[in-house]
Amino acid sequence: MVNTKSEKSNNKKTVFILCLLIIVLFALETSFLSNITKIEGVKLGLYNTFIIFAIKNIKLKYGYILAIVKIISSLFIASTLFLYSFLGGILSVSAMVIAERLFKEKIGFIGIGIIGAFVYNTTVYVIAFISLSSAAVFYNIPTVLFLSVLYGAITGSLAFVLTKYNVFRLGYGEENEKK
Amino acid sequence: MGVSILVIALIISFVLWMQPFEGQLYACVYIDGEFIEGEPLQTTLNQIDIKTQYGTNVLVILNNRAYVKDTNCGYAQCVNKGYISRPTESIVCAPHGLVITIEDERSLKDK
Repeated sequence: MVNTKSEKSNNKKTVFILCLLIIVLFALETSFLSNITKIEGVKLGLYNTFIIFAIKNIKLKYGYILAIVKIISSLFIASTLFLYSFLGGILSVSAMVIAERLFKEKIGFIGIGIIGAFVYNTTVYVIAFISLSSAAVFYNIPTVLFLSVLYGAITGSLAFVLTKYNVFRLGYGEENEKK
Repeated sequence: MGVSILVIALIISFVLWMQPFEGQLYACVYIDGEFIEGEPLQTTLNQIDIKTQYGTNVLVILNNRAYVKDTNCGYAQCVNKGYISRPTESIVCAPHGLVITIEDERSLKDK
């Protein structure tokens, strides 16, 4: 698919909107949904919806840009421990990008969401294990794995809905409508 | 992918649940991986202030369960965690490098 200038400009506008939405959603989630689970380090991660959307519909590199926006937001809004947020965010988006590249046709929105959530949560727990020098942190791992599947499926489904209804008016939607 | 993760989670849960324990249980406090103290789980109230170079956590033991009542770390995920009472269950406060885990007499003797 050849990207025209207007499509590129449209994509950049969409990514800018997604960046703003990530900041707002992250702030809302930190304020109202931070205690949704009683497991340390596990969050719903609704902002991941937009990262999945960008990876699937726009360009893989925009996934990284959005992940960096989220990491910076977490520093200012939630003053999260930087190492957890940074490594979790970067490894999570990398895993989603790799999965999308390798299995583009075979993997859907929910699959990408589950992989992202799984890698993020596992990374956080591995860092906690290393920094706290205690294997006791892994007691929560079964619940964390279960929640990764659940939360990944939720964010993936939301990204699918955004795509299906072409909420951000991406160019390909118009082509599909013509067909 | 999702199904395999769920199966792994179930297997690990089963293994942890089957951990044998004997006698008195203790809430063991670790700071940066180093064992600090083991407080016996009891029915009467026992409040312990855990002060470290990073900050303070208030550990409470009551009705054979342990929980963190208060912290000044700013996240309070350890407070939100609630009670722990079974062996290998844990409460983690990453900003304070604190891990509280329930252990039995046998594993406490090895410290």
